[in-house]
Amino acid sequence: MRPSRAAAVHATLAAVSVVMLMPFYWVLKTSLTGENIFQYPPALLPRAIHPFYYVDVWYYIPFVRYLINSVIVSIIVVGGNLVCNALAAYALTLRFRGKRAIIALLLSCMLIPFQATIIPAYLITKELHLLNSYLGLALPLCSTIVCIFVFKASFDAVPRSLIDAARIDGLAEWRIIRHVMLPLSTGAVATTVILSFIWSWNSFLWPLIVIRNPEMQTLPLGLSTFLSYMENTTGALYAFCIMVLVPGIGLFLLEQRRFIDGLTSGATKG
Amino acid sequence: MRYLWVAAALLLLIGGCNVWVALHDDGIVRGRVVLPDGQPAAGATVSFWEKTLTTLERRTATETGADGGFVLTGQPAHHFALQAEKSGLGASPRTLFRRYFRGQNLVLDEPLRLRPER
Repeated sequence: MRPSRAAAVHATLAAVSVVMLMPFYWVLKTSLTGENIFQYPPALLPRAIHPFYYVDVWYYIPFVRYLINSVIVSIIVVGGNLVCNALAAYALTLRFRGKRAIIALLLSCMLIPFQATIIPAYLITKELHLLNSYLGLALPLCSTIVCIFVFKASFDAVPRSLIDAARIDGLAEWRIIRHVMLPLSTGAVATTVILSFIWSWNSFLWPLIVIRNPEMQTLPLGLSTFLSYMENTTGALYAFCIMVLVPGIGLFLLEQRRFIDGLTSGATKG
Repeated sequence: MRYLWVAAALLLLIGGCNVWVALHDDGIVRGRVVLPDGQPAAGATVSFWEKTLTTLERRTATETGADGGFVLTGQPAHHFALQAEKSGLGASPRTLFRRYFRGQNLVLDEPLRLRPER
């Protein structure tokens, strides 16, 4: 690529990045200054920065309780996704009758929004006596079709000869997944961890329906409650938003390279 | 390995912060009250108001000494208001203060200034 063309591409990408990041910057700026977001003309740079809105969030509501609830649910969801999706994906790499139909069924199920299945999901959770519990919160997110296909794409890239060799050596199927497939699919694992963590972390509608006890609320529910208390205090509200966002962003930054690898694995042949 | 370093750094940071907080969370607020002309206001009553989500609630009060100084102890509120008053000499505006953590020991930069009653 010629230098002038490369510079133009970089300038375009930088401009797009600024546009994409501007809302996040604005939330961060407002959380540190408490400026009125409707102020005109808007101040681009923050003035009189202070962390007191974060202190307000920490003390006015049981933030730590919400955080612990979210962490517990996210751990269950991430663990469930790793186990269930890896098992399902491994099954889909094998040859059996009706495999294409099952894949078609799974793909078509991706078109159904969660809101459409929420009543049956609620009834099943109620029958299992899991309402108002961590497991009940995590259950609907414990396996996701997208992550099954991420694992499948990664498992398909593992040479068949390696799996055959493991079988000849006497490894059981689940040990092949554990000791052969998963170590060779770190990208898919990272992708599943990040996606399932973010979905669980940001989940709002399901916890809203399942949780009755305020002590079981997760961070998005806490944010909603907080909004009802603090509608005039944008600074504290935005500080809460930042505190909710930070763990997900941190996890993404730690695993971003593997995340990209996981999403693109199986996209090309050879 | 990255996770280990990040977790270790976070633990160190959180532990350090908690030690710092534990050493400075006696809930002491020190300050001075002055008359409109800047002279110390002896015997003025200083009220401590805790700011809750919706309102201000009066928690305690103390009196200033001969030098106009006052000390409030054991007040954990991180967001609070102070007001000084002395009969015949007026009252200061109820002023909001913030602390970085509950019970942080605080020395007021500016004295509370009494204003004559209208």
